[in-house]
Amino acid sequence: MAEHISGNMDQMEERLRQLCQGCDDIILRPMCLGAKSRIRCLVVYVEAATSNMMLEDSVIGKLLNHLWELDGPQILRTVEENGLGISDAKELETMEEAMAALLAGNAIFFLDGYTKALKIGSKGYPGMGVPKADSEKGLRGSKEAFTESVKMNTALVRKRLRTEKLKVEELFLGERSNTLLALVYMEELAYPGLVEEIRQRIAAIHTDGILDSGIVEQLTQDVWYSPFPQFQTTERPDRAAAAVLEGRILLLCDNSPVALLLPTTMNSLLQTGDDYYGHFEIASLLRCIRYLAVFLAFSMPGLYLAVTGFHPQVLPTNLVLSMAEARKGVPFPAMAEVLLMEISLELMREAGLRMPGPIGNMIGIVGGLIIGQAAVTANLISPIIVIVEALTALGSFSIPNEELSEAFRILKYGMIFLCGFLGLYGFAAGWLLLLVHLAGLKSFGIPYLMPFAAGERDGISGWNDGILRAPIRRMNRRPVYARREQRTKSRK
Amino acid sequence: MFSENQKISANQLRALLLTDWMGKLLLLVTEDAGRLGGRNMLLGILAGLLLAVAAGRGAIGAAGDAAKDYYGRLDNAAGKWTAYFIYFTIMIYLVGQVSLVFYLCAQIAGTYLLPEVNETVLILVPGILGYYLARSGLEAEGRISEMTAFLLWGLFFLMLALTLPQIRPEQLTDSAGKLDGGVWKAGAYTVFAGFGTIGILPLLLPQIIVPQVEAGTGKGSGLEKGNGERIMIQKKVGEAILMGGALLLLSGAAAYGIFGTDGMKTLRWPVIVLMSCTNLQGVFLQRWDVLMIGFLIFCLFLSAGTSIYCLGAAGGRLRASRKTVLMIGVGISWLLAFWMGKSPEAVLWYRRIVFWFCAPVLAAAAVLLARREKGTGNSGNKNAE
Repeated sequence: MAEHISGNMDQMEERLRQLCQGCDDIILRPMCLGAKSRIRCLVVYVEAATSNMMLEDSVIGKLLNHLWELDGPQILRTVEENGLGISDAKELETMEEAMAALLAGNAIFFLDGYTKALKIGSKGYPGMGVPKADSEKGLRGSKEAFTESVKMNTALVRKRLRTEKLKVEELFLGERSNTLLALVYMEELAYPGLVEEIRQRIAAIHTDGILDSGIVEQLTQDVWYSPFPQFQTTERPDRAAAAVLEGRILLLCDNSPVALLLPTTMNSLLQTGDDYYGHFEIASLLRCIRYLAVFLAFSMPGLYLAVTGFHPQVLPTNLVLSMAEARKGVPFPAMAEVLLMEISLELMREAGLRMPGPIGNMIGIVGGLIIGQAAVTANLISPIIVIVEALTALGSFSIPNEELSEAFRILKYGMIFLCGFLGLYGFAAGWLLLLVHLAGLKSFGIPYLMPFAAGERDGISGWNDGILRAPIRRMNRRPVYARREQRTKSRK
Repeated sequence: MFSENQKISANQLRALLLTDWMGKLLLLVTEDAGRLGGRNMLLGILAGLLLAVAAGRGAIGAAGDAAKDYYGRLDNAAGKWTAYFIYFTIMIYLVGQVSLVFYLCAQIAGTYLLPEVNETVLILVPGILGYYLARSGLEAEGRISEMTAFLLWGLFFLMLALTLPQIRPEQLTDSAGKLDGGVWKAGAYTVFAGFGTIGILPLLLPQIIVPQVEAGTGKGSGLEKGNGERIMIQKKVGEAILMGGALLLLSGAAAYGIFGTDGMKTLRWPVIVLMSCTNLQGVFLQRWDVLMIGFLIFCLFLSAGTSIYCLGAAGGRLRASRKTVLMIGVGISWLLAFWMGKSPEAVLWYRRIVFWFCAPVLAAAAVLLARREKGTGNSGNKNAE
């Protein structure tokens, strides 16, 4: 049943505060207008969508300035008759209409004694003025990226989720920096215990300054010594909105364009936003490729060492002979070759990051063609190693999440040593060590290896969105992040 | 949300048991049962499987209220010292198991993978891994098993199936041999002993949970102890036994069909030689046995971790520090594994202790508890819906 606007300012204000509770990005500005008999009014708006400039210097600002000079009864008459002739002002009769208009980015004007609300059109949410996503590119989907303003970022999310159930809690962190953090979640989907948990962890942080979301991440994660990320990072608002719809919590940090999503699993880290915008067949294929990339990034150099050094009988004889021929004259043992190439790749990667623009691009050409080719010609390394390292690097770059890629980048050295000394025995040991660590890892209580392990509680939806992706029309259940009673998405 | 409760589901238990048994069944039981002759081996395996299924049902069925601690029930049934004796037997069994696994890893790796590497290193590696796995807890082990058990089982099954074209039918008929009651019964006991972990299942029962919807009690949330849960656990244990048994039968039949009776008598681990007979036309790799040995060793590593965890759980219940028990247990197992490597007598003694001491004691404990629970009317029915 529709809730009509009562006209009683106290009731209207209380009701609005109730509806907007927890939405710190929605501003309620009560005012008293009128030269002699003051009449109360209330302006409600989404902060970043309706700027102060908008309020003071434009339509609503001029409206308020004009009304300021009138008496109470005159104010009421002016508003009722639209005495200022505001062309895009519209009267709203119910609270539902008012909220919808508010969340669409308009300013809403309430007047004491007036049983309707006035919608004043505004410039709306931030558009393509925001930057493009650099590190999370995709073929389809929005090209917008988060900015360094937390207010703007919350608006970018609210633009996609126009419901008062989307809660935005603002927190301040850093004793000297007083950095603004925003905790964004869907009230009926996120576990209240999880929201409380992250609030408590943030409250327990005592530090001088928070300059980036990365510091918040490191200070609140479950296992501090694990190289694996326990938060998912994203710079895309569409990705963040999708995660919030799954019941996850979004953490935005002022001055940081990188948002944090929690909880996370390794499976989530290997997904991209584009996975859901295209057909399920191609999405599934790409996910399989990413899992293969993980295997290559972690195991390729070690596997090469194990097979060539200890178990050449696995390979066809011709290949073994040609590899032996290629290595003829190389002065270093295979493990030294691999480590030399790995270190060179790391140096090139760092140099490419530090060098600006076109010079950074040159590093790839210099490193790949000149150094690699020269090293092979000089018989310092064998050509097979270049191929192995190239595959490893491609695997590493194909992992969508940078932090996950870095974790495997570090652990690969352990695998190199294990396989270099113990062949396939060490390979099995290395994989077991990795699995033991991942099996014991949790992100805010969610096992890191879901849905492949501990997936029973999640039911089929875990496998619908694991290595393979089911068709969208079959994905009618939310994953384990959402509250149990909200696992089924609404479907017509 | 999930909590850190060191509990696993019945499905994870099934996976854990499968990974624990796969390596040992394929290596040891194929070797032992393979010397019996075709018919005796077949009947021995089938009888052994039936025994194992019955033992599994019995061990869990005798559990009464599965949430109750095994030591507590033993103490109630037969007194503190009997409970200590049975726990001590469990620990001896587990130390023996762990030593055997270390020994197997070193022997297989030393023979087929890394002949140039020192045996000491090869024995130390599974110890370190097993200790790390045990310290990570049952939840981590359950998850790893859940992820890897069916993959490994499928790979072994596929590998064995791919050897079938190499079977010579005349080899099968020639190898059938005469049926000998004493021989196949001994084989059955060997197979049954291969599933020895069943004896320590009651130790793990309080850490196994079955979601109510799975136990068939009608509701979809929360957990409840009762008959439904016990039946589900028995079912999963039975499934693990049958899956292990299927591998055993397939490997036995394939080994006989390819090597014959005389070949089987001379081969140390027939299943490894069998894997080298795998032939995939047109595929890149030339030899598959090396990779499969890697997977076998992975299974053995997991098995070591499971046994070491149970050792810690048993020792911890006897008021020792779990970490201390783990370290001492691994240390003793290393020493025993070294001894096994140096002296074949050690392996024989291990078998004698397991077959003629540990297995009968654990079976007696199960019977004792079953009679006690039945006698006091505490069969678990009171917790059913």
